[in-house]
Amino acid sequence: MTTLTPAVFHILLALADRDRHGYGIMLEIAERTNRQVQMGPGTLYGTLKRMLEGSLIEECDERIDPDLSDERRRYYRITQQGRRAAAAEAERLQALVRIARAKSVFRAA
Amino acid sequence: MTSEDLYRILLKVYPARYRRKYEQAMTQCFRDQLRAADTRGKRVRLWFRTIVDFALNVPARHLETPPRTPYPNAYGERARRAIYLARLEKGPFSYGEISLENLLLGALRSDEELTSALLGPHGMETLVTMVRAMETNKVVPRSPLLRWERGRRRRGPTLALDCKKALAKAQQEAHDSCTQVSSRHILLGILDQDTSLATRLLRERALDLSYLRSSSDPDTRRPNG
Repeated sequence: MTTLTPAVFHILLALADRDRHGYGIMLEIAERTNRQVQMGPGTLYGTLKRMLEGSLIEECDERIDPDLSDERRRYYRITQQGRRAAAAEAERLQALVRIARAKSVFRAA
Repeated sequence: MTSEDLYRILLKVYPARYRRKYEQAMTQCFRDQLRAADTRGKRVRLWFRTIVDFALNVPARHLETPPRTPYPNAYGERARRAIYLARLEKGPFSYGEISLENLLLGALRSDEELTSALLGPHGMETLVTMVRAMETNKVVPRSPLLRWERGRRRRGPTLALDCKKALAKAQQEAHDSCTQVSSRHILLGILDQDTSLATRLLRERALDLSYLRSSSDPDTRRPNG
């Protein structure tokens, strides 16, 4: 089983419920993590490029986001392979949390 | 000079290939971030994060090898031939991009056995006539004075977005069946695209998906085999 990098996992989670453009992905991740994870455009598009090459996501059409401006934006969509990878990563993390619970790590924190 | 101008200049340090694809989107993203940073303090923090972002990502992008398929021999012989024939359909020095229809003809031409099984003895000729008629009605951009257009002409036609999506789907199908990509996987990829003429043509001929999935291409093997 391949472990996903945190950036890849965050992007897959951001795209799990709907298609988003680059800035939409950045906003969703920042909001979801209480601004603890704030990706720059370099990290975001570098990761998107690798994910496209690995068929974890795909490019959709270009359209305007009425909430932002009248510029056309490229949207991204998670693929079935991406969903499988995200599910496998979530299960891996869940197993780690179970181990941490069994070893009373949370109580010590 | 505005912050956006400065950002555009900084982007020049990324590799040209990467810039061609992402420069516009990255600038747009930075512009959105600037818009959201409505105080001086937020703008300073944004610039600090941006500099760190450059420092971390520029070397990584330069160290990356040119884009490849997930594994070098992912495509079987017929699939490679299908893409080659699609390129020929478009014409090696023509303007515009290789369309899904070009890819469809390439995939069908590369596998005669499959074509006659799916379309009958004269089906291919009918299909070619229909696709060519459609292609000639397309509006092709012609502005040979533009530099980028000359660059495209030298490199030959590139794959259109729906073609790339079809090939990504073909790779996924091949991955699921643990073989190299065959021309049958490419047809499955084309059928997966919703709006194209190529997809409609295939669907009108009531192509049997299960036949495409169950019939194996003898020229393919496991990717790492």
